[in-house]
Amino acid sequence: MKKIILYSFIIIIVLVILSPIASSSPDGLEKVSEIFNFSEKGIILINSPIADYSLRLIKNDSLSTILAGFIGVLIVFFLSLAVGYVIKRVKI
Amino acid sequence: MHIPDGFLDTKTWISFWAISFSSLSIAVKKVKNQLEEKTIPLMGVLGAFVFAAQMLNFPVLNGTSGHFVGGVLIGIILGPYAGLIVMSVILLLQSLLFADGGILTLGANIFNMGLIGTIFGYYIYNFFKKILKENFFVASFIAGWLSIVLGAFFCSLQLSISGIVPLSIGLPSMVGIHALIGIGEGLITSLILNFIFKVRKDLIYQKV
Repeated sequence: MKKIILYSFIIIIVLVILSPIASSSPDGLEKVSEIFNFSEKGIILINSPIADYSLRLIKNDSLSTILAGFIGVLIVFFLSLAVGYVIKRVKI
Repeated sequence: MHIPDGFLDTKTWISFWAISFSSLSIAVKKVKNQLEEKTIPLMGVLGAFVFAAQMLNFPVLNGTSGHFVGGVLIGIILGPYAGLIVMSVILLLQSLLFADGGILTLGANIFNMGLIGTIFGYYIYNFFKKILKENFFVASFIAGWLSIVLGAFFCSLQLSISGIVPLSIGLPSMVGIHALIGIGEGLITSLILNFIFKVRKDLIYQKV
């Protein structure tokens, strides 16, 4: 299992480093909302420092996306693990 | 396909919160009974992988992009219930930290991308695997493609119930573009699954 985690993390790191070259075109729903004029109805309720996958403190766009990606990856990893352990081990 | 806040009216987002929340509580109970110890680290690894993969939008058509969602992949490897839990963790984090998908609309997003991919995707995959004589490559492609198209269908339904865009307009455009994005989903799902089948078949969820 240690090997699997190691190899998977190498792949994940590569994916995150590649993330700045991802297409910045609107996704399917965003495009539809633009075509039919309801995109302006979207609102943001939480003012997050890493909204839209960019770290506001960092000026360089690519670096900012990569760092935001790593923050997300680490939180998802530990949160999913924690949820798994809690569900399995803790008696409810 | 992450729906931002403001796109759904109150009755719609509350309804889908209720559906997703009750499905999640069922999933937690199921996972408690059947989750194997070895699956727990996989939950973390796959969650992190899918989160990273979702950042990589690929161009589709006419200045539109799509990205891998991963619900079917996670549902097949972890099983539908642990899969739904991990997808929900990803979607929760995306909405709270990355403004990718709303908070009120999170229930609908968990339904469209989590529940459909993991639960529906898992059963569709097994159905096609059976009728295609264990051809898991084609079965997972179909499940991946269908999960995206069905997610888009429900998304257009939610938008029309909310009075944002009528179904007659929203449905063809949402399903049309996602029928293309779904090809990417199907391909990535079956390629990764094919790889895992070759190297560590034992990691894949077996129905208990």
